[in-house]
Amino acid sequence: MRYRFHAVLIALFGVLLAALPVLAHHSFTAEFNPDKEWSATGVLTKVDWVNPHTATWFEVKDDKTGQVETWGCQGNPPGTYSRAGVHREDWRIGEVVTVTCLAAKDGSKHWGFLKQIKYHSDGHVLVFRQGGE
Amino acid sequence: MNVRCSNSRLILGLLITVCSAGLLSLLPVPAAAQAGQSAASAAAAASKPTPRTPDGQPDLSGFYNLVDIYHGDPVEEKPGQHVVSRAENGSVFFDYGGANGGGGEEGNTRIRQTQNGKVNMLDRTCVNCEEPPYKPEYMAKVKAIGDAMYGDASPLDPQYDCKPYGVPRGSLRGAGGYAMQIVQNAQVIAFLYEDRPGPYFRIIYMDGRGHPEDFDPSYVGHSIGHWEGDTLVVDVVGLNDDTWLGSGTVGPKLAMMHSDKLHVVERWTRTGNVITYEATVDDPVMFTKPWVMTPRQTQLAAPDDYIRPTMCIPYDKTHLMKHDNTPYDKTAAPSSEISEAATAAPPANMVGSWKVTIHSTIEGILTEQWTVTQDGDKITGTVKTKNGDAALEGSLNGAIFLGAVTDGDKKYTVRGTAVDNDFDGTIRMGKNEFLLSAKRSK
Repeated sequence: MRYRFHAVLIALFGVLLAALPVLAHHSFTAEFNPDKEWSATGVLTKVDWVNPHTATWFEVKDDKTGQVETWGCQGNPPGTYSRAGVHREDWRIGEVVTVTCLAAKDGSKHWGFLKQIKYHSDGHVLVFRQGGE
Repeated sequence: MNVRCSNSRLILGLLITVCSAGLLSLLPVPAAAQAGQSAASAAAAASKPTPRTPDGQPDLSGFYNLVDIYHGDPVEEKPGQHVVSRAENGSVFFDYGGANGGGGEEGNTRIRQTQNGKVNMLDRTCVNCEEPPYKPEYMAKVKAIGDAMYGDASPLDPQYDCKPYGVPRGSLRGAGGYAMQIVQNAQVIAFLYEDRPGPYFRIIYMDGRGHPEDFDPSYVGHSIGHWEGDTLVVDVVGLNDDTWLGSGTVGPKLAMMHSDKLHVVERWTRTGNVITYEATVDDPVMFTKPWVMTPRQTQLAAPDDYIRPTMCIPYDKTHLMKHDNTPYDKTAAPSSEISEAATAAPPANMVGSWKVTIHSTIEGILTEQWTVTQDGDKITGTVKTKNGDAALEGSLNGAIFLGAVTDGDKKYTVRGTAVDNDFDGTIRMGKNEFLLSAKRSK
């Protein structure tokens, strides 16, 4: 094994591949496509630390029109993040970021479920596994 | 047994054995594993002395919440548990055990387990375990709503307007293990809910008063309580018809609308640090008979946990889709258009040599070298690890890469985003998913 993992974990791999989300918690798969992502680069302007889900907002300049548009991505609930150890201060407002999100199913171009925030200043990332409540 | 497994390689094998033993001990109550609470820890919590007030009644005061779910085990990654890892450079990976808390086989297993009615005391959702005795005309309505729902979400659900859960739904939610503070004195008992539509509260009057005759219906109604032995019995009336009885991860899927003639009798019993919730719900307008709910249990939160009241903004409602992926609002754009529009960017350039760092919560830092070639959106490459070579293959959609490292018959899924000379994302290795960061050599 070049990646040295315990055999039991390897054996579970195939099983887990077959067990990818079918019925997800809450509204996640009712709103977002787990197989379709988008990313955009802009300035992080706000995080709403609110129930039922946090929301990350950033402003993106459209290269063709020059117009600035606000994009947003839903995340897990604030209590979930906070108790797990991800905190509001991890959202560094005002920084240039590249945000990756799962696409909304309903046709909303600028809405998704937060997968990743990349800070251009120091290369740090916040990465979120999809799903859950 | 409340097993916490560290990430030390030296004792990995032993811990896997111990964790496996812990899982085996959960088999009689699999729903408890889903909720992150072991049967043994619940039993231990129940065996503690029940606190008493100066006048001798049980003291329900305390903060109740799921115990283990928020600090999941980085090795086992049990479904629904969270694992946050912070890399030395400040990057953060928020992981969610089992790919998705309610998804896949785990979710299906959980539903099957609750369908037989044997195990749901600690199952916070109890999706299909029971249905209220609706009259046929109302059962037809709730089934139509249920049939349209994707998973457990419907825009008709009042929680998507941030309306309080009410009674009994809020009680089920709190007694199902979500954050609930109880404050008690001889005159009143207050339930304070930190919850998705929250925060909100309700007051149980214990001073012997009756229900007011001119009470205007509200989301939490009017509650009067008394003690029967060690059980708090609460009579609730004055509830408006703008809440659901359950559904939406809170209770049985078909427990939805009710009339403002709802009458709920609740029984709260504290045994040690565990509270058992029972309720009989009657709706003379919509039910054929009173609905005796399946009991729920919750237990005191971890000592360092505390209530986090957070206001609610209803972002979700307008984006919810039906189970067949059609919108509730037929004027919304079809999903195919959005995907094209949002991902129309040309593929990023990933050609070159990359130094890759994998932040394994099991093995620590793993490094490898990727040499990447690109043909349009197709990516191929070689992966050099300290143990030999593997192959990289995948494709780019704009800056988003989805692919895998193939090493013999083993395949490790890689997802990430390329930004200039940086590539960040995750790699799935076995049942675990880890933070992956790469820098291109200049």
